[in-house]
Amino acid sequence: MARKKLETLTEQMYYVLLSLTKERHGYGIMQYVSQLTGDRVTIGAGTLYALLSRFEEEGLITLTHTLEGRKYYQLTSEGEQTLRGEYDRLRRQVADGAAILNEKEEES
Amino acid sequence: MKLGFFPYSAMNYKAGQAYLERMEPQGWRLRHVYLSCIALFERAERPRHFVDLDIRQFLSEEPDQDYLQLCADAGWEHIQTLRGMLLFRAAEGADPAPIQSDTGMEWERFWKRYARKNIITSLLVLLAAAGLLALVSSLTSGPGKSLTAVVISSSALLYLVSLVLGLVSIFMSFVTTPLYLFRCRRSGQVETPGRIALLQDTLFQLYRPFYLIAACVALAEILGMGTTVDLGWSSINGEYTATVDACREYPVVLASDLGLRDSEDSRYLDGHRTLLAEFLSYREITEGDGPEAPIYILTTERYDCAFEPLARLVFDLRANETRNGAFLWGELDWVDAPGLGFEESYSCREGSYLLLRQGNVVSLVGCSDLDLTTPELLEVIRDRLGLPPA
Repeated sequence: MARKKLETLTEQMYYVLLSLTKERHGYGIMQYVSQLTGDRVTIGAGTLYALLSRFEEEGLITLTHTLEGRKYYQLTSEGEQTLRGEYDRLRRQVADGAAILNEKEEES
Repeated sequence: MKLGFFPYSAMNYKAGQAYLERMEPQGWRLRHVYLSCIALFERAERPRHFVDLDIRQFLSEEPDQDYLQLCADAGWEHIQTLRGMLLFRAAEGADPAPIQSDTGMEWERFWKRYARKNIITSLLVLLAAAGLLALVSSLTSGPGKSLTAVVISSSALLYLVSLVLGLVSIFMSFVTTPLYLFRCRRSGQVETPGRIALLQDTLFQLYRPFYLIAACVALAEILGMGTTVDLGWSSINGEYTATVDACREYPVVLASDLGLRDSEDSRYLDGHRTLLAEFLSYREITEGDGPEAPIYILTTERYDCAFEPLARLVFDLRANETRNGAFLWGELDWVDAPGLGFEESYSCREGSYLLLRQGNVVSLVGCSDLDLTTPELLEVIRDRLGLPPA
């Protein structure tokens, strides 16, 4: 049976894909995500390894080259599409939230 | 330096993690686990550890170097791979993020790639063990099959201890594992198992030396290292002639003890020693006087058991199996013979064969065509076997 494709991304998945808009190796991804989120999101090596394997299996990222024992990855077009889909979904979520919460704020 | 006990299995890897975390506030950092369960700690500033599940398909595969490289880059030093677990410690001065930062993914991986397979494998092993037990039981029971030698063997004792340990452990697993997995499933993460995990894994660790010792003892028995005496038929090999004097040193009944003529060369004495008993077997074939004289076949089997309950078991077992033909000279239809002056006694073939138990000693004494139940011969038998009056 084919593995179920990712429908929504967890926060860690989202940031891993986001960091791979540029070619990076594993530890580079961890550093980038920490830096980008101000240490709010940290990704463990084991979690990242599992995510990279899964993303590669589903064609969202591709291995570009290996240098000094480190594997470098980059987003594929399918990965970019998934990332954009998630970005739109999050944006709509935020917009919906803003509409309701702002309206409530105005009322009070 | 400090020593600790680390018996944890991959199924309880979070208990191993909790154990290492308890050492951290005291400044102890794991250096290595020796002999599969002896943990050696060294002093360190702000030590940190992480125990991760090794999800390789086969234990013989080399550790995944890409994964170890990523962990090393992140600040985790790989200490060793142990029983399906990867043991890590934080590198000097590093403060890395936990290796598994998504508890949901960690649980999914544990359940799908380890626990589920482990349960199926355990059930298959259990079925195979039950099948093996049934096979062994069918091979060793039934007419003409002797179980006594198996029961008193050293390896049987060790197998029994291993079996008891195994059953206790399996029983505990069948109770605790489903409860533990249910707890994990409900919380959606790999929980730290309760203290029973330590007991369970300690028992599992005890298996290994027992199996090793049992294998060594079984090998020693196969190689004949438990032999106490072995004097063969002189008619087969003249160099192994068992003299009357040589046999008289052992507590067996000889032809001359019963007033018969000593055989010329048909005399055989064999003995084995195990952790549970010492076994002697004596056979002699001799002729009476005169041209029409009968041939007498003498037999002494003697089991010096380590404790009385075992002697009782051997007595019952030997009685049953010789009734079913597990005896060189045919089936022995024992009847109770309470008046012979022994704690337990059977006789058959008009008193020609006796099965006796006195304390820890069980003996089967026989001489074809001779009634051994006369007071004089019983006294001789008791004296030669070195048994005190009941």
